[in-house]
Amino acid sequence: MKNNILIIISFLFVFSSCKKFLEEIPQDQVTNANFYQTDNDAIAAINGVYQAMRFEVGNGIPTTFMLEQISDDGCNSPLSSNVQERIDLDIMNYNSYHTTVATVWNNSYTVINRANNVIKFVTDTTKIKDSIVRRVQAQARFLRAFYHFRLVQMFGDIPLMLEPADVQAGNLFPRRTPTKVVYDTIISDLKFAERNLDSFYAYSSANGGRVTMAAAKVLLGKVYLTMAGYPLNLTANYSLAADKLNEVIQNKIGFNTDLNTSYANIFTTNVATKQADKERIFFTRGTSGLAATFGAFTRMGWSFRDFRFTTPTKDFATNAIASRRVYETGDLRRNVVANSFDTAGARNSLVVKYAAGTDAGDDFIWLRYSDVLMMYAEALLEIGGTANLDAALSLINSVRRAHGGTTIPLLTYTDQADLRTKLQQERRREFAFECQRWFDLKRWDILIPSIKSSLVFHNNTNIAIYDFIDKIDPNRYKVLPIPFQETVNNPNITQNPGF
Amino acid sequence: MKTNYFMFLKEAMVKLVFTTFAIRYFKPAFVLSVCCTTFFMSTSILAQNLAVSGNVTNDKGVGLEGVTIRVKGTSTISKSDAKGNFTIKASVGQTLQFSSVSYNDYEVIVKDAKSISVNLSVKADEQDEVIVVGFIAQKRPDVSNAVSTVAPKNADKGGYSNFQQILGGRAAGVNVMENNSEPGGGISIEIRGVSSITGSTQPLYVIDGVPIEQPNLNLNASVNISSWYGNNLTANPLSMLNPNDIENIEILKDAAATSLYGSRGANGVVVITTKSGKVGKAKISFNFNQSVNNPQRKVEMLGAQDYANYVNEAWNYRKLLGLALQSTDTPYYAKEIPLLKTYDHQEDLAASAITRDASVSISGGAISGAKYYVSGQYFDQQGIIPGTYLKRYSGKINYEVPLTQKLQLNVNIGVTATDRFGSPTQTLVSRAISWAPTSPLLNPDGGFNRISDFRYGYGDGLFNDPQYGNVYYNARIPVSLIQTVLRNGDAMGNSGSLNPLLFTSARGVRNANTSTQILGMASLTYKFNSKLSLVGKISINQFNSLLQTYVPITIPLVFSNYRGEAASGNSQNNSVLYQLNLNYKTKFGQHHAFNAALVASAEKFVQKYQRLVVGGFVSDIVGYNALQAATPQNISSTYAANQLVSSILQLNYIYKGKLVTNLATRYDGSSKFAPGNQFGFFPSASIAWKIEQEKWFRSIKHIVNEAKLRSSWGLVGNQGIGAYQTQYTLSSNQVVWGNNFSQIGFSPNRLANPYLKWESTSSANVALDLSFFKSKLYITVDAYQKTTRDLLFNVRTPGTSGSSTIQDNIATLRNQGIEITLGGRILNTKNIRWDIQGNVSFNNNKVIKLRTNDENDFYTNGVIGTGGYITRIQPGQSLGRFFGYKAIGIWNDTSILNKPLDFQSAAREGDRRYQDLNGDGKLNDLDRTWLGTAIPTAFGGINTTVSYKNFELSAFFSYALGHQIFNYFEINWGTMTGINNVKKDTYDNRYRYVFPGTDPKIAEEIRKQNLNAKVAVAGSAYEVRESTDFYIENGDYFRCRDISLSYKLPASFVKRLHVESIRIYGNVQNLFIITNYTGFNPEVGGSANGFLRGVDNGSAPLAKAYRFGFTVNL
Repeated sequence: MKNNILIIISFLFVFSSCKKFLEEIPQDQVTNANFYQTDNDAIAAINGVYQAMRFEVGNGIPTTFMLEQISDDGCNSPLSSNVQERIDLDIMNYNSYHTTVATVWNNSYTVINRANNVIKFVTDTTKIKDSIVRRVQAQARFLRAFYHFRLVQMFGDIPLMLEPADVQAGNLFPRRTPTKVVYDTIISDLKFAERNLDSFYAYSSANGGRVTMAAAKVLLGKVYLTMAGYPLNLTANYSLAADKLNEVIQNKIGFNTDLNTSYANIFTTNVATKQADKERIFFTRGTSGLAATFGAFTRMGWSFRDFRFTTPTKDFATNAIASRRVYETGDLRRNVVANSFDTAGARNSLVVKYAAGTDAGDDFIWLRYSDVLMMYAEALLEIGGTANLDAALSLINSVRRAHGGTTIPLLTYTDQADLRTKLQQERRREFAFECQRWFDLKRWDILIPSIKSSLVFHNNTNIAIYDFIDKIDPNRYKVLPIPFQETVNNPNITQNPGF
Repeated sequence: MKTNYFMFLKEAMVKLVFTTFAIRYFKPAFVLSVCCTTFFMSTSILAQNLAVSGNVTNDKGVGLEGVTIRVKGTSTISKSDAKGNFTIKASVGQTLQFSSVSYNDYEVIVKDAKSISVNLSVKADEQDEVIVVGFIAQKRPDVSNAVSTVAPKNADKGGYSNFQQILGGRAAGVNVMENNSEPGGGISIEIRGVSSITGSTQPLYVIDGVPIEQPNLNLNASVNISSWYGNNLTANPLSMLNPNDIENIEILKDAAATSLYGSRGANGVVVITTKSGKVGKAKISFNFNQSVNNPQRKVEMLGAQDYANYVNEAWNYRKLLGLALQSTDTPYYAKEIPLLKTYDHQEDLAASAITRDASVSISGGAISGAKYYVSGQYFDQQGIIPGTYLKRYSGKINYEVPLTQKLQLNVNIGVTATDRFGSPTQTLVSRAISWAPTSPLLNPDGGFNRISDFRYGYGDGLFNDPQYGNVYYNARIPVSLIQTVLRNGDAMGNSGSLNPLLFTSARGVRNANTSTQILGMASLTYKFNSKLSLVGKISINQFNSLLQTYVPITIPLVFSNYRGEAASGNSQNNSVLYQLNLNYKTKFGQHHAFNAALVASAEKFVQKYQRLVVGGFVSDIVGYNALQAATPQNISSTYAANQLVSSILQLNYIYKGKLVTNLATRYDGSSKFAPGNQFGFFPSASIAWKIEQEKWFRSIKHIVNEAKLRSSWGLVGNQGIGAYQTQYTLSSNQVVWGNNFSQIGFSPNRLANPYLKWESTSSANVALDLSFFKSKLYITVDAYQKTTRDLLFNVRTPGTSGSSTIQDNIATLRNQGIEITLGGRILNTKNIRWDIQGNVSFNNNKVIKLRTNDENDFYTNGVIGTGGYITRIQPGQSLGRFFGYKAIGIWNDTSILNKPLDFQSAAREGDRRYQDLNGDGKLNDLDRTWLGTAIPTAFGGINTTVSYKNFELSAFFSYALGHQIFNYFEINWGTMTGINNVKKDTYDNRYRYVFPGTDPKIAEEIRKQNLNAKVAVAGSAYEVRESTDFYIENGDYFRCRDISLSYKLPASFVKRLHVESIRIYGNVQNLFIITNYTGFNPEVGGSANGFLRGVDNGSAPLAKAYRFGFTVNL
């Protein structure tokens, strides 16, 4: 017995302990703890942020669904299967359960979260070159601002995320931040970006497609302009916008940007032509011939053409009623945008701006030079005064001449309101199906009347049928609903009125 | 109070667990040192100076021949002669051991030279059945846990391709679902319900004391392959086991038994013991059988004429409504229809397939005590789908040898190689079924029919296409159109035709999987004395699998601009186990028997995986054998490792042979969790009271010969998460800059949760075992409740986190149920014996809590249609429940007039109508509801054996009741879009559109029939892929799994052939099934986890197998 106990005890204690056995470090993945150490790490980290942007223009294409179908330009294609959810977007019957609403929200915050990781961790200037840290930080802050800006326009007050989401940090359930505060943060992010970004990259260079100083300035101009319009109506910002946009115009050689005199070439897939184009200021690079796993496709053409999820509304494509025509006869942009403008309206019309199909070389352009001119014109117009109105008119006409061609007449105006209407029409022609229309309508605060008019015309049905548009809340559909799942998953978030 | 005990135990266990780390370093050193010391200790050999003689008899006093007599601890042996007499040399004080195959061993100590008389007792059949629960072997009557044993005899009759088939329905509470009939395909086993939501629900398998992790093959080699092949090839690692090698299978069901396997025991444990040799002359057994497999069921589809009418109906409907058309011309002219011939594609695909199984085993034991069992098997199973097969080659050696008096060595080595050729059965059968019955799959010249799609007709027209060979077509369709479609697809974007034969090996698609498994175990047992022994064990399990796929140039790929794709995926799974057991066994006085085991173990698992996909071959010749002949498309490799250290203390105490108690604790540490949460503590206790041992019970013992009350409680874990989940990791991706410069990007790939810990299941079991009339009738009733807390669950996070989920220990799930086994020996005469046994299990499953216990906190799975989903889990409901719209027939010509405009806004007359549950005039999420459950409320099996003289007939049935199946197969292929064949039933129940110009009388008739229509109008353009009860069917079944008849040749005849025995047998598997389910196989059951189940994707029909074979024992 005694022996037995001795044996048992020695069995217990003869071996030394070694906690190391349970230590297991991933060998096929990097961790926050061992990454962000070198110049290359920093660059790879910022690359990862851009990669998330591809969700928007790649396979799912929530951008076109969400932003074109709920505007007066795009509708659900009759050739696309009659999926109730898509129809719901088209006829403004969507609610907080809508999956595209959630996709837009989630994709945007994925980019923001990745940017926040970069901002938090790419800081060690003893290991990474100071210039790289600054440039990477500036890109991350631009991208963070870019998505906060999109979100705040779409959803109103939004959770402002400035730190990576982390269980230990306890920031998984943020509250909504007032719109004004969100804008202030966007401005400060962009001001940092503007100071630290390179002025431009040649399209074909190894950095072609990254954000530049020009992009930061243009976006900042756009932010000021948007703040000056609905809903903040901070009209003092028109002059801030004008100044900022003018900085780009004044230094367009330094920023290597200008109007492309061929509208069609802006959207070409021909690589040589794309390289010569100075119009692109911020864009997602389309590629062709690379493996699908690169996720490199920009599948705008896939949505608009191959699978025809979204086609022009009758409101956009009708040719029958002269007063409703979007494009004048002879406007060169007309046939670049869509392939058919007929009496039947939208039925057979396709968006052809993005020509390539599934394996697409289309770039998706977020910011381009004619937008700079048009926004500058809008700011001047709103500041008012004959000199400014005249300057605005000549800016609009310069775009019109360059892209619309010489056969359409130059615009004139009678008063500020008349010029404003003409500018709004010109923007619709110039930026059709570039996912700008909804934001423009909202900034001008003509969103609901425009959609109503388009719905009635497109479906040849009395607006009373669509009573849900303003039945519950007059502001419903001026902002998107917070996704239902978000309200379930985050106890701290509130829903927008009417949803 | 309870916690204090736990704290104390925990402390003790922590100390023990650290000792295990050292095992890692002691590997060879330990073994060597134990060997040396024990050799030294046993070298002294005593002189043998006495000649002892005696006589061995059986209990009837008859002398026994051939009994081995051995001087214990020496190599001195002798054998008894024909009368049972023997002599042997030994010294006083030494022990003589008597052993014989069918008698219990006996020992006697030599006192003097006098003659010794020994009386050996016959080994009892059932009474001495030994059950290994954890680390202590117990006699069956003394077991206090819920343990089911599947007797090896069942397996012997043979011909099962894997051992899970043996288990099906034979043990109460064990639900076996055979959901893939492809050779080597998956079988799902669930014990006492589903106790994990996202983790595995499969039990832990322990083979000869070594836990086997199911390797994660992850061989989904190519995007293109997987989109056709459905799920990836998940080889079933346990299909590597030769069923003939199995001695015994035990299923541990309650936590008191499974807690001995601690962190992995939550889903139950299946303990498999392989055969070992017995002392005596070599026994050679040879077994061969061959079987023919046929598909068990067919689905009735439309014949050519009905099909043509339906296609025309769809075409007319679409033309009338101005919807997009598949062709500009009527698909079938009226005059053509009567001439059409029907081709049955189910017949084409489902050829009979042959399975051959040959195995041989040699076992025996030398007089010295060394025992061996050596076996080999060749198993060749052809799949029902042409070109699919599984070949298995396996070999096994179990060797056991006493090295010295105190030291024994055991070596078990099993090596298996499989060679498997798979096919995309997931979609192959469903594609074949929906293929136009008017077109053959093969052309008259034997070539492959490329344009059998109805739109282009099939006919006598013939042209030779340079790329595709002979193409037969309907002469009224222009050749130019057919050529265009062949290359580019049609105007609707349908890319060419999808002849299912395109995906078979005959057409150049290759899908080869070769795997090897080596399972080796060596242990040294050192007996300090009769009470205390120490076992050191090392085991290695290595599973390597290579999956190679090739899609030939002739098949256009989805979303790729290249042709010809090869993929090669290689997965290596290695695990090593080091274990030390200290066993102590003693008796105090007369009434107290005590048994203890102290175990320390360490395990390491490494999983490596590489995959390479290349595309753009110019020739089909080399394929995956020369990947360099194409351009790399996708390259990836992964590495994952984890470690587990454990210490176990198991105590077993029996009082007066009537009260049995078991106490066990296990302490596990896993590297999958972050420091601080790495260790889990799993205690358990059980008690059994053998009432029949009580004095007062004796009076009724002639009626009730066994009465045992059992009760147990225990805590078990589940660590079913991948490695590294607690760490903040980044994964790589690629971005493209400038002139196609691709650069690597890194970004966070998950929201890490450093707070993760074990899932823990506490379970209580109460049971009663009763036997009546000398065991002629017996019943076992078990009632249990299992509550799983801290369930690992992918909790949705707000989108603001940039991730959609985070893994957290948050959910609670409860299973409770009753299991009843009832059996008896109905007849038992000299010539006839009839046994019958049946079991039934009821299980009720409930989600108590997810993130919260609010019913709005629900989760969905199986996304489908317009924001819908197939299953939903929420607090208060069971797992596996279907959710969706209620289908209420079809919108007809009158009801459509009252349809609110934005309710199903795209629906027209003839489209499916859903119920507006909340009556708000809109169809949205709020109108979805519970539609059924995938988990049966009752299941079980019945088996019976009748033997008459040398004949034996046995039958085995299994059943499951009270559950539904979501027929996803039908949602994909059974709807009347007008481009595929449909079930006859679908056609008969369709809504018929009244076309203008229809005879009013006929129109009246059609309208009348339409009131009962269930299926939307042919050609409907309304989105049909919704989760709705229309697709949900009753899944109840009663299946005859096996009927077999065997005949043992008369001994007199066999003797002349100089063999010991010959048995010939024949059996039928899956002879019939009684079910209302219209798909192929109602056993669609389990997916990998508890979330999405009961969804039938149109898997291949189960095979009906006729088998004939024989066994020869030499």
